[in-house]
Amino acid sequence: MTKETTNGQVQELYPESDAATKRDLEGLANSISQFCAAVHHVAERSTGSTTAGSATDWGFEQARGRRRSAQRRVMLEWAVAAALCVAALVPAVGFYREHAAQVRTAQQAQMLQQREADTALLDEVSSELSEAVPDSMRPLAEMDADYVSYQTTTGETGRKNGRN
Amino acid sequence: MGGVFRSAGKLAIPPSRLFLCMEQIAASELTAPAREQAVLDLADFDEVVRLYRPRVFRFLLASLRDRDVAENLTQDCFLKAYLGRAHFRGDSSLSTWLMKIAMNLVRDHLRSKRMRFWTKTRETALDPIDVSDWVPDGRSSAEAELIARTQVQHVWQAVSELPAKQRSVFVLRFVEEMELKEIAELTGMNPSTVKTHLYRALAAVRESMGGKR
Repeated sequence: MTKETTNGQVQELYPESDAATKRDLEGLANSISQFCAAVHHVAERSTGSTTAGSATDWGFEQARGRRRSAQRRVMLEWAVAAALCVAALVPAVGFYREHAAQVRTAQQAQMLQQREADTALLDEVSSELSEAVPDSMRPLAEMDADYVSYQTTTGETGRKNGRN
Repeated sequence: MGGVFRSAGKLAIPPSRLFLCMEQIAASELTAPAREQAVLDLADFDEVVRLYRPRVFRFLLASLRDRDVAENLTQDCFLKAYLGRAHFRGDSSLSTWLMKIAMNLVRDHLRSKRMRFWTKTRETALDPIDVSDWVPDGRSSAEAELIARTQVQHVWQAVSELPAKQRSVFVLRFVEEMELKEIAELTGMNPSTVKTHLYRALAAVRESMGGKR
């Protein structure tokens, strides 16, 4: 690539540049064209050293061998990954199952306790309800009983007085 | 090994001439006969390799900065092309198709390299000194030569620090001299996106060279 071509390619990305920027871009284009020449040089030198033998020997067998080994490596990697997963999963599952059993037992014990507490509470409530007069109403009941006994007493006295 | 491809078919016109003609045809402008010709050209695979190997290798070398990896991926690129030649319909030029394979290989390589982050940096990786080993032509003074080498080192370093997409676009544009339209087709990006990537890459290189963004 010539310096002018690179300069044109660089300048087209900066269409509205002033004279100073243009000079700066020319320097940049110069560096890039030298970079390009260097890459071409290195590539040519490398290609020249690798294809010195037969013109048709471009490494078909090598590439195929590498492809096969890469496929084998990928399969091996997956197999190792799967084995590691299984190795990690088995203790994890065991631990999980054990933990789950513990949790279940604890839950059952808690439920049993709760049920017993509920039963006791219900018994208490039903015993209170089955009483003739609840504790809270007892003063009223006593007053009522007093009144009834008073009325009975006064009634009998009146009747006795009437008869007399 | 060469016979495998030699037996694939013989062309009446020298293949090198056909390939050069094909190179000049923009991918999107390929007519039906040109497509047929592109597919036919693929028949002589040795010639395809001979013609396009330098370009593919250069792109891979500039993208990955590792001679051995570039060499291996160049071989892989042509192996893939050879194995997938039946799927080549001639929708794009042969060059574009091969460069697309090379780009995919670069992407896969970088991805697998990220996955194997524990792998040590290979000794074959080109350092800036190796690249600047190139002696610029037509320079008489030692000072000018030194300046040119330093500039190459700086650009090489700046390009190596670019994100993968920007680096690919930069290399395709400035090293391979491809048109923006071709790069867009190759990368599967919008032409304006290609231009944006190129602009950013250039801005980064410019900044690292001491210029403004």
